[in-house]
Amino acid sequence: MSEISRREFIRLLPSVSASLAFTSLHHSLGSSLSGATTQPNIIILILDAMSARNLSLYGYQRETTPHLARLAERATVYHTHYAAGNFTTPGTASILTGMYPWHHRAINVRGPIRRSLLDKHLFALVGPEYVRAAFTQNMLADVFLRQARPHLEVHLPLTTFHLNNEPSLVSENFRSDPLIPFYAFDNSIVYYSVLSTMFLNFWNISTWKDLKQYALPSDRYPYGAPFNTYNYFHNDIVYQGVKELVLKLAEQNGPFLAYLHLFSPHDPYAPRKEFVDIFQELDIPRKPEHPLSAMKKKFTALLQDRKHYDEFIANVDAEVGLLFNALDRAGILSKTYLFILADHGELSERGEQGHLNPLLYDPILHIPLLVFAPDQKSRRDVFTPTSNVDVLPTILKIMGKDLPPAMDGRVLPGFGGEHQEGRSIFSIEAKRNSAMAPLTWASISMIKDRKKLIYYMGYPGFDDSFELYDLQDDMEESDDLFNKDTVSASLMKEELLDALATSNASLQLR
Amino acid sequence: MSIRWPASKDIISVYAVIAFLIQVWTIYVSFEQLPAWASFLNINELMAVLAYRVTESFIECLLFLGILLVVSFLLPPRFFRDVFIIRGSAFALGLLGPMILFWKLFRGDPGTLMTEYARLWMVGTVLLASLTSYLAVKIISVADFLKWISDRMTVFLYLLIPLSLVSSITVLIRNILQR
Repeated sequence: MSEISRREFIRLLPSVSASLAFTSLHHSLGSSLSGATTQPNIIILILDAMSARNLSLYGYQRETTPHLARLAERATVYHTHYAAGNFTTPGTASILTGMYPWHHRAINVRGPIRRSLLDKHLFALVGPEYVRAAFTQNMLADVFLRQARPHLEVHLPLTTFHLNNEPSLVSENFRSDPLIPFYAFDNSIVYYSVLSTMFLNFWNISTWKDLKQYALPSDRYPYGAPFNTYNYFHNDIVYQGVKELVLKLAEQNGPFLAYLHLFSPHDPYAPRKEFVDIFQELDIPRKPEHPLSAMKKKFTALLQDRKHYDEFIANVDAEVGLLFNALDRAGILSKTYLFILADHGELSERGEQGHLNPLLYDPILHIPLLVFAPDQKSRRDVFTPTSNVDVLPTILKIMGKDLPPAMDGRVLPGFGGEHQEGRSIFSIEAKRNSAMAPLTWASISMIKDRKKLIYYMGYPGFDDSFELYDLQDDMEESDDLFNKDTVSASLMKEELLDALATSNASLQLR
Repeated sequence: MSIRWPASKDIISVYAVIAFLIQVWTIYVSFEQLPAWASFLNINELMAVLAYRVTESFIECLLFLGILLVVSFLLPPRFFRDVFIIRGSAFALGLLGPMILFWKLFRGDPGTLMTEYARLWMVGTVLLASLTSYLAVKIISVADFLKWISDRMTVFLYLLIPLSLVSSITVLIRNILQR
């Protein structure tokens, strides 16, 4: 079988080729594209900041996800699935490595995955027998794709389907060195990069020329257009582009892996007009402001934010439904495992809105996971607690590959994994802690069966604090049992501190 | 033809003013961000980030100097070439000083304020720099000061030029030899 050239591959994607960034295809695509194969395709669709707690699929009062609920009739639905971090960087890195943040060390905003793991992440482990394509709209997640570029056949720039879709990131011009120029020129472009140079800043300003226009309410977007902190976009265009990408990948003979990390329903919440004001007011329990809340938002403001968030989820749900239908009609799903999940959730309580906070309550960690197996006809529900670190081991299991021993994740129940009594699931927030140093400033949550322990350490005025909740009886986490259920508290505290000490010790040994 | 170019000593003096403003600003801003980077980038990566920044600012300096040389070439010699140090230094200070102020002022809200005021500020800055450059020759004390300051700033070139060259080589190696 002749090798396919980079130029030929670009031609396979005519609709998006203008803005494609391909890796230097130093390894042949020939092996991946030669002949028919029985290996299934894998599509990972990540919906940024989608909390399971706001999805009607999981029992939320507002009908936010009628389409996901319909699709779920053909999927394995995980009811207690958790993110490993409370924002994009740790949450996404855990999906890609199968490790908790204290092992992959992508814990800071814009931080990369530990360099020694660069041949042990999803794209490397899947191997060149798959055509590996990746696209994200989230700049923090794009850091990992830049790190993974030697293992990617297709890496679309994050501005590909945006309204200002010129190659507006300076670092996109450095194809063979994608990560370092990102930090030099595009890192946190909204806050700092603009100051880094004298004249290059005007490059950025030129891309912001339409900023006001798109930010303003319009007939189509009453709250302004969706925004990923760098570009504005329209979800119908993004989903259409993603659909075309998958259709093109599916035209190959060989299997493909498509990693699609889409920004919505991340804030700012910007639903299309038809999803605005579709929900009634809700009776939400009022919770006291958390001592670590920086926003200190009023309850009424949080209710308003939640309403907009729910509307945006309904918008995203409709787009996902259309994408699913298109892929189904094209016959792609009959030979594809489709994972729909989130990198983390979203919080609208205790004075905080969003996820850039040190809190680890259920809405920010409890996320959806639906896995569609090829030709699956009926719904399966899994209530065993699972984590995003389990996604990579499951994919490797589906592919028939061995699991690296250092991985924290396990194969998901329903795909070869088993329910394990007493398994502890961790989530870690440590954005202020150096990635190079042991964790001393962090929030860590540990879920074990129905109990959840949260540990805050290093916060000025709130150091060495614990909270314990019974998630079954108290889903709202209103009743702190740490000083009431002292037996559970003591056992879980000991286990959490042991796990922390072990991870810190392993860091020092490296 | 060469008679239309300023003397090389004059070019170096003006370049010293330009490089001091642009590259010291770049290094200052980079060091401001260093604590954040240092929490997740190793020393090699940090040096590489700085190399990109310094290389980019080096190119900006050369382009800025190039524009002044083109202007000097086009204008009558007595108007620019013969007073290259005074006019060139005045223009650099008059343009780059307000630009540094601009970046400092709008760091908090680059998305909106900057887009609104950037073009206005730039037009105003170019006019101010041109006026400063024009008047600098007329006022003897200002002209003497500009000669003095540009002469003093050449000492920084012993640091900035090697730094720029090493950085440029680093960037080239990372982008060409690693292909």
